[in-house]
Amino acid sequence: MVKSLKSSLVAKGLFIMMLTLFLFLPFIPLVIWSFTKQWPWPLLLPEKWSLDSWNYLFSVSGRAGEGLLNSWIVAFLTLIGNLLIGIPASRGLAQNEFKGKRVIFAILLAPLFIPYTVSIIGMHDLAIQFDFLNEYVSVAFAHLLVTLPYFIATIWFQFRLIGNKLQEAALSLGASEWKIFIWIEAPLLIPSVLLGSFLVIVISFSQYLPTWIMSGGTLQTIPLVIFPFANSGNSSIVAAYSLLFFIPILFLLLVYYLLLRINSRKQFMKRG
Amino acid sequence: MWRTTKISNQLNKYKGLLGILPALLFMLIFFLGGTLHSLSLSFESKETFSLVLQEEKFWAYKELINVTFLQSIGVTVGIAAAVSVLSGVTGLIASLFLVERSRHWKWLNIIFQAPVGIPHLLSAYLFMQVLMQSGWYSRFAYQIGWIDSIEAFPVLVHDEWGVGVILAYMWKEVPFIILLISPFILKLFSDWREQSIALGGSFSQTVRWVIVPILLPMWVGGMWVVFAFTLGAYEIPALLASTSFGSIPVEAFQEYSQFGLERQPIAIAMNMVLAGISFLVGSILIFLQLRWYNQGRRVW
Amino acid sequence: MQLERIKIQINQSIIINSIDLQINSGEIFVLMGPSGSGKTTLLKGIAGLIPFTSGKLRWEEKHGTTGIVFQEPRLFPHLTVLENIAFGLRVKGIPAKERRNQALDFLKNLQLESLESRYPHQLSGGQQQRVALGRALILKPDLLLLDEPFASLDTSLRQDLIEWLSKLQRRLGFSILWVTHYLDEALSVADRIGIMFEGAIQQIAAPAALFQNPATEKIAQFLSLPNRISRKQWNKWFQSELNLPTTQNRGWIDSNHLQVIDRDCQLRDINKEVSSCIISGIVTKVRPNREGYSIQVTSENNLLDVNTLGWNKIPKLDEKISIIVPFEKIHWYTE
Repeated sequence: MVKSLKSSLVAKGLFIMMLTLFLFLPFIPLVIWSFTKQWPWPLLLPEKWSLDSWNYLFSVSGRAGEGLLNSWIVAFLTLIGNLLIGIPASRGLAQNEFKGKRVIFAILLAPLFIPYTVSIIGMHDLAIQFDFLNEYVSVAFAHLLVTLPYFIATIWFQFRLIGNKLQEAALSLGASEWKIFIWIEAPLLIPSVLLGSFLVIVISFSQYLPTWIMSGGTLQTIPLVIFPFANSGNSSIVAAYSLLFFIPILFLLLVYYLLLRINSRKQFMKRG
Repeated sequence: MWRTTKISNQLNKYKGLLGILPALLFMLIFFLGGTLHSLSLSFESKETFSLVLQEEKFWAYKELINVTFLQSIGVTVGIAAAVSVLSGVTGLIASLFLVERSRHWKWLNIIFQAPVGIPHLLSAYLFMQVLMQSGWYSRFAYQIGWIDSIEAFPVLVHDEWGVGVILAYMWKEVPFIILLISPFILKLFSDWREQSIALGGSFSQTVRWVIVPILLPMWVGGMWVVFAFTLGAYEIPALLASTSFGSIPVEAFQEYSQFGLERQPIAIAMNMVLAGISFLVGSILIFLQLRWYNQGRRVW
Repeated sequence: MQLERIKIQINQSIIINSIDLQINSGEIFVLMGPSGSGKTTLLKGIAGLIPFTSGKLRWEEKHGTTGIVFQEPRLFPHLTVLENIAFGLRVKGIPAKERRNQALDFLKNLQLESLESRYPHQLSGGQQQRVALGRALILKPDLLLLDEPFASLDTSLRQDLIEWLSKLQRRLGFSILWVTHYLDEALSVADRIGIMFEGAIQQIAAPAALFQNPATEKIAQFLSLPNRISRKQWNKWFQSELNLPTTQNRGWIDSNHLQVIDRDCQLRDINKEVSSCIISGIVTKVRPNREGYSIQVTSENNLLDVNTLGWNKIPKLDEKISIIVPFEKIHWYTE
């Protein structure tokens, strides 16, 4: 009995350790590669370090600045689209019971469950016909299609947690629909909107195929800049680019936690 | 007075539903509409480009009916199924451990969820760096003394079995599953663990007979999301699989981007097959779930 | 089962402090106390769901088993009634077929025949709670722990279930440690009642003894005994013509034993053999009850609750009235 307990504990520890290593180890050579040009097998650490890759990144041919800017513009537009149509939809779905709700839910979440490449090819062809559409806007539309299900699911869940009770109380006190949303729901919604926005930006940043198809391969967001390098196997430059990619994500994560902290403190002060 | 409140109530109800409309229209026009438009593009007769085969509407689909493409379907679906099941099982076990001892190991949560924020393109690249024969793991193996030459390290990138592809996907999808189900597992434990212990149940009995059955719909749904994504994703097989591997998204994108407008219907047809497969799998899952519920079960 | 100096500490705060308790086999022991007094923690401790910080749990013979039922039925939502009941047998590793037979057999005891393939959400609240009881009882526990099992059910259903459970208990012969905050529930089943405050058991007694002789004023207050007056005041009213107890310094009297009298006409009808006194006071509150009126009378800064019989004479507020108090109906206790 004791022996089997012990061995199962060992198995657990081993599993956790393997998984941790599996997830964490790949980051290490990435950091190392970005600071060296030459790192022959079988050395665990390179002998010569250099900053060449980082310098190249921000040179004209490196296009890092352009890539970052494009990625941010698209992500920003995508986020606006999500906020505009995602929040009311989640609210409607969470607070109303009606016939056919499951079907509507299924349609809204469909891109999660069915590969969306075909629809984006179709969208691209349509966009060509309406060629007044800005490249950023049309790519943002494709990203909106990809991110909206995640955003709606996140916000919907929070609306369900909030429930209808507060709303009913406010309604009985004579508050209008708008006031209920601004005074009661919005403050409670902030954490999940932050989480949803974080997801939207991160997912938008990482899109390769939708961006390529929608822009015909011309809008150079970071993944489109990186891909040729990754394919050619220029390790050092790709490593630097990858780290460049993490920086905005880390930055966003920091902002997310900071905003969450400020928000919770504000709520606390209100209560106290 | 009564009447006006009734009317305004109905109006409010209507307003609430109105909020769904923009998102619904968006999905209908762009997801469904885009798919249908693509479908019509794939039916475009070859006549537009050449004069032969004038009335062949389904030529793109007919061209796909060959052994190579069938093999590609097998490979693509196989990889997606393997990734979703392996990630689902690993993610479930990891979440169970995390929930059991999350109080002690908060930092593990961070490591276990970090890859969710990292794009697939980079996960492919990370795995290329560590798994290649000249990669970091092979250097480790050499330093420890497991291998004595670069060739002795197994081929895991651009290999025959897609090991690198599966590992790179798992690196992304295990954390996704953990992120998705661990809050639910936490809640299920706080709801049911005590009751199960009171009836004499051990930890593993509680997990097998109570936690997993209640979690099942959510867990399978998560695996379906992983399956659908893996089925249609391009970056990882493009970087980590050999050119003859037969991943359909990669082949389709080559047709789409490299061989001109003439081959576009082929690319669409290939992707359409993938969408169809995911739809079919999903329908089967929904059917099974409905049957499960119709026996009277209510889980949530 | 016997508890010796049980102490339970959760996050540095002591919930249960040095409890000694013995429960005899076949006994129904009811534990009462205000919320937050540690009743649920004690039950969970006995059931083995929370570890004891110190102290010992001992059984008469071999190691005994417990079953526990909470206020909410907590039925597994994905299992049928039969599967829920058989869960504990499954844990024990009893083969499926035998498990099924035993569970089906047990359903008769629960009066739930023909419901075996329903799911929990298809049952009424009372049926759900019966399944929860059955799930614990099929394991034949020596001691059944009940944590306000019927508190969320309505009164008539509660009484039915109490009746049913005590019959079942007599037939199967297990003992029960029953936590409740309903006095009527406690009185209808208890062999002994324990009162618990602040993590310690203050008094253990048979129900009747508890009312006749509450150990402290706090317990008397918890049992909401009416007209709790100090000996000094009683002394004043009775003008010390009687032998008041010397050790006990407080006494209470039931509202039904206080009688409102007309000062002039009824005074001579009073039986002189029964020693009693007359208190005059002012009516400060009146409300109707089943048999007449409950009125509150203020006399010398004491509040007295008096019940009158019949609805004919309606007491008026601020009216000056007299009350007769029979001495022998006063129960004495120590503050």
